[in-house]
Amino acid sequence: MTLVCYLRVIPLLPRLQAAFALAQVLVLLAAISGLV
Amino acid sequence: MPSRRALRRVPQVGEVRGCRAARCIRRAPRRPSGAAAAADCARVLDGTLEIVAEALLAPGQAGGAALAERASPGGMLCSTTSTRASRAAAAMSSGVIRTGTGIPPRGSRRARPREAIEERTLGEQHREVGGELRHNASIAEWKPLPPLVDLADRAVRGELSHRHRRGGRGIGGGVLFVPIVASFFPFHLDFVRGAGLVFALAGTLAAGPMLLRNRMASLRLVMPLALAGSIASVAGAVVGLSMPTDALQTALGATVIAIAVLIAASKDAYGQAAIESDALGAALRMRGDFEDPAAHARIDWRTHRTLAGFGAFGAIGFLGGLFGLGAGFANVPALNLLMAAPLKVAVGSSGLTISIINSSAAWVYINRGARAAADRGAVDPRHHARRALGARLLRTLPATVRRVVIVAMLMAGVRALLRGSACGSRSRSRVYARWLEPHGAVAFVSPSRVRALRVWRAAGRTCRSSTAALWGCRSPNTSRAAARRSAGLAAAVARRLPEPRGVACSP
Repeated sequence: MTLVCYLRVIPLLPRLQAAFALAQVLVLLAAISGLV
Repeated sequence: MPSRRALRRVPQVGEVRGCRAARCIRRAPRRPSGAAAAADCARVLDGTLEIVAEALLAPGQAGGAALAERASPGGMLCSTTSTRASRAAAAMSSGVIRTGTGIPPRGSRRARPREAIEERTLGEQHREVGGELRHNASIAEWKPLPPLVDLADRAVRGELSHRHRRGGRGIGGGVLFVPIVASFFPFHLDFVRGAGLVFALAGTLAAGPMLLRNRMASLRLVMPLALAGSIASVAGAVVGLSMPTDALQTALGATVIAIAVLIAASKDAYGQAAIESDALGAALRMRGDFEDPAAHARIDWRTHRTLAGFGAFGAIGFLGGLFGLGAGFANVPALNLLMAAPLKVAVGSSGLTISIINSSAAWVYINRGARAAADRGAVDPRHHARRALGARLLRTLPATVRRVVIVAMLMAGVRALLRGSACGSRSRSRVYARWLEPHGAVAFVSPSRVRALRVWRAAGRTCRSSTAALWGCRSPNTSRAAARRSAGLAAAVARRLPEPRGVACSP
């Protein structure tokens, strides 16, 4: 659900903010996958 | 054959706002005291009055309303009853509040008309919403709104009073959960920290959409800061799970005491002076505007000290991940005092930041086996009920609640310090965890729990899976069968492990 929300929000953000949101998605994916 | 005394009271059933209510009519009002007569009369109909009061009023007011109605069946409210109860009783019956001279002198007849000193019609006491709800507030307009939604809505609309802002500024359940539960309950600290993160996450998620819709939270402000906090919180969670528990408990105690001092010494909100964005803030477009209904103005805001804000949110996220705290107590001052965001934007953005930061750190705990935290923290309706209770307490007694919070945090901090300094008792749980891990279970079992299981088994009782799961022994697989296996495993550990030697302190 969180990822879906991020994917909905990212296109609405300015470019720099979208990059931050994308990085946030990567952090979340890393945490979910147990890599850290 | 009914007695003559019984015939004097004839219950009469009527309709009160759709509820059937019985009322006692006295035919021979010869009792010397109005209060005594009322008490005698109400003895018959206690239950009915309470039912009516509960049907019409808030639960906290119902008891008072019934009490007041018992004390004054004729509608005259005695001075011995509380004002709130009096108003509640008046709302039950006539819609008019009367405050009178009190209990008539001994020997006077109850049927004698008495004059009310003051008469107020309910519905005319329109006070400032969010102001101090004291005795003059009207309960006729009370509506059973969900308290959390109500408080969040009022926070969004900027209608909270100064006392509410000061009392509730970022001090949510997330910062209280871990110190109190870890200090006063026999759960392992790792387990409590994971639950604390999910607890804070569940509390802030609900208000997020409304905050964004009302522009009280800014995604442009939140996303960069939350990224820094999120990375730091994951690092904090990893560091926290690799630290010795006693050292972590000591650090938690010191941190909680520092937070309590910070809350006690917190200043008022930063004044809204015109500031200019710094270069980084301008590049990240950390600015916005919102409609302030309290000031009847449109507030144009922007932030500065962006780099320091990144550092602050990194430190806050690390502490939050390390101790499982919801960091609203620190987010709001960082946004408001450091970066000069308006207080309402700071409060709204803080909630959104917590929901982003904690979602990453919580997964670290969940992947290490603290899955029961997610099971109980987010979906347990009792959690929402407790939050609703807290929101209602905050609305009525913000200053008192703030003092209670500070005292509770100080006590929890001292207790955590004492527990952390206990000689090695905490680290034994790590030993037990290593015993369990080869069997496929991740255990959050404290020594006291294992000892209790051993005593339990010695008493000839079987270890039920639900109880063992409640005590924190949980398999990574959350199925009931796996929980049952974990429970059996914990019982086996309790049976096989010898009593540790040379340990003087009990956990």
